[in-house]
Amino acid sequence: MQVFKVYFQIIKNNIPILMIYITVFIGISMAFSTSGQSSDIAEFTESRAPVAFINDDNDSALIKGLMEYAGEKSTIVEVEDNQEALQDALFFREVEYIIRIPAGFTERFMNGEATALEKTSIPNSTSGIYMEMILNNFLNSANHYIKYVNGITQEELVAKVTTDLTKETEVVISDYESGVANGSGMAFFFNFAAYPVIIILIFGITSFMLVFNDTLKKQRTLCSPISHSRLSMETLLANLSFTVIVWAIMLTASFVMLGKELLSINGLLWAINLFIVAIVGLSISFLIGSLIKNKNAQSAVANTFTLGLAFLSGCFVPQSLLNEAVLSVGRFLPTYWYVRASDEIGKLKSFGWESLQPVIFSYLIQIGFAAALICIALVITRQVRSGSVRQA
Amino acid sequence: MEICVKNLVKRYGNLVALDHFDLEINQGEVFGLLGPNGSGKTTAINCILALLKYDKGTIDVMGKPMSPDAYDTKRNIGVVMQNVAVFDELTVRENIDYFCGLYIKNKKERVGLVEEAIEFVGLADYRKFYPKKLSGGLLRRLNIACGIAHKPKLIIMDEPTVAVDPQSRNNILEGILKLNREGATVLYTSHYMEEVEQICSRIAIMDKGRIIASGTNSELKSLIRTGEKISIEVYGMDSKVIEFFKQLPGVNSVDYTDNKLTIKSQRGKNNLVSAVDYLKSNNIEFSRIYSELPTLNDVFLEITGKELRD
Ligand SMILES: Nc1ncnc2c1ncn2[C@@H]1O[C@H](COP(=O)(O)OP(=O)(O)O)[C@@H](O)[C@H]1O
Ligand SMILES: [Mg+2]
Repeated sequence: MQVFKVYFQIIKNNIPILMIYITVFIGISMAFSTSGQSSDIAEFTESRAPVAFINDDNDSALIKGLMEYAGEKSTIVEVEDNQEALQDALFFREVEYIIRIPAGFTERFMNGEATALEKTSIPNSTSGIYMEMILNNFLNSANHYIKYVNGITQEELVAKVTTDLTKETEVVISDYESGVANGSGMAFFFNFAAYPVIIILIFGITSFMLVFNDTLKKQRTLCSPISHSRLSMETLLANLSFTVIVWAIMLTASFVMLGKELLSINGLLWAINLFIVAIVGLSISFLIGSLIKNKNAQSAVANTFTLGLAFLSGCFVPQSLLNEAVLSVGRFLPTYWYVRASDEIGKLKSFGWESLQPVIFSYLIQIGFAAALICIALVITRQVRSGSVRQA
Repeated sequence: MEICVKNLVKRYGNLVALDHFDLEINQGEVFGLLGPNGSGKTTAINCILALLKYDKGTIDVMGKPMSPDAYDTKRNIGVVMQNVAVFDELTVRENIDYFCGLYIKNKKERVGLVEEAIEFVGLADYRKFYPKKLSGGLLRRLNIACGIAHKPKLIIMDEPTVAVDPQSRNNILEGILKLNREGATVLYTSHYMEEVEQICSRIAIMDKGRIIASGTNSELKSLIRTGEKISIEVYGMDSKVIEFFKQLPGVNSVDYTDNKLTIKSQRGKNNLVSAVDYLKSNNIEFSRIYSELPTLNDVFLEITGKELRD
């Protein structure tokens, strides 16, 4: 395990740099979480948060019923339907929660197909979480009727659901509320966590590769009886161990920051998502490591590349607030899918196949990216290896 | 035979770095590969170690064809490259342990070997030093220790004494002889003829990718016409004097440059006395006069028409 040993010796030498990223991350997350805790539940339930509905579907009975029900718990406000106006409204707290009903929603919903409302809220907004619960209660309960009462009309459905909910609100809530309370806030934390994870992996792994693949030292290793496959195996093992360690540290940090609520299915899904994005980070690092030749290139690439990646993917600013141009670029980045999965997990209240599907889909896309990046890196290193060795 | 290279051709694009290069090294030898910079020594070594692909020829090491996956052969080879290759992140001891560990899996066995190597190159006081803190000479010694700690049967060293202070250089040369006495075969390359003369039992002289002569030190010197070289420092010299020296028996060439007169003559012709007599009787002032045996540089000069050192 010679390679393994050197690997961690090199990582050890880079701990000061790595610590900087962890510290900055924890500092920023702490700043965010304290700013979100000021409003308390009692205050806000009475305050009836301003909510906006944007209906891209037709004015069906189902949607009317939903809006009416929501209107009892909040104040519905009108907002102009364009990106800028919506962002402004959120920013100035004219509205705290925006619900967009996609075209074809009613039809799909009535047919029992998977469909969802698009929701945007101020990060860490308690009224947002409350609104989310209200909408989910309505839709979950409606969904039950559709499943079990054949041929139910929209009007009947709305009538049944509203009476149910007004009569036994308490019961219904405890029945369906199995997700985490502060889903969007936690998602926000995890979205951000991708940044330190990736940059730490890039720094650590490329530092090792720079040192280890230095032609002269590599020659020495190549002269020894260590086989090529053994060398690759040890390197891979070391890379994976480092990735797991970084993941574990970040997960511990998130437990410290977010507390017991992470001991839930949502928490598990976030942990898996974070692990997958760490593997993505590993593959990115491997690719960068096989391209760069010196320390200067390393820090330039690591910093600019990771910042760009994080911005375009919505690690810092929620995807719902990014404009369409940014998002269309983002779709070609693995971290975009990480953030997407993370946001979805924040909203999950039930864990059936249907609600998990979008999360798993985003997982798979990230894994696909990681595999592709590693293949590209392997092709590059192979070319480097077969070239001749230049001596000074 | 430890190393047998036949008809090796290596091209870098249009440049022919090795041109039908042959080499035979027997067990127990300290074999010197002597040649000016750029003559192809490193290229030859990299081919022998299967680090480079070549265009033509065969290479056998310890009786088996050499290839990148000839791991059993590699296990018995120790390599000291021309450039220092150690980890800045590891201490002297850790570096030696790392490279030794590529050959010797057993940790306990390694502890002894690493200690021995540290003593051997005289780095006992620097065990915990990082390479950045070592002087050039000490760094070279570390470079050597990393290559030989596992006690290889065949040691290949590519110019291990370049840019080394005299003390470290002597330490290194003595070390090589000691390794050889302990049973190792050594292939040693250098562009310093003195070193090669000092430690090598057989020598091959190389130029432009080709071996131009090989044999023992005295065999090489007997190849050339010069057996004696007289040098005289004189100021002011006319052509008459040069003509006189040219007709002395057995003289091959007379050259006068930079106030130095060089007379090369065949073996066994002792012309020193007649030269002194002539200068005295003609009242020609000279400051120094001495006679030398030919060096490998003379061998190189006579075969290639240029100096070994540029
Ligand atoms: N990787 C390379 N690409 C192109 N030319 C090279 C390369 N390595 C060495 N050469 C050339 O091959 C010749 C022999 O070089 P080298 O084997 O390093 O000589 P030496 O070790 O005797 O100084 C030189 O002319 C050198 O410039
Ligand atoms: Mg060389």
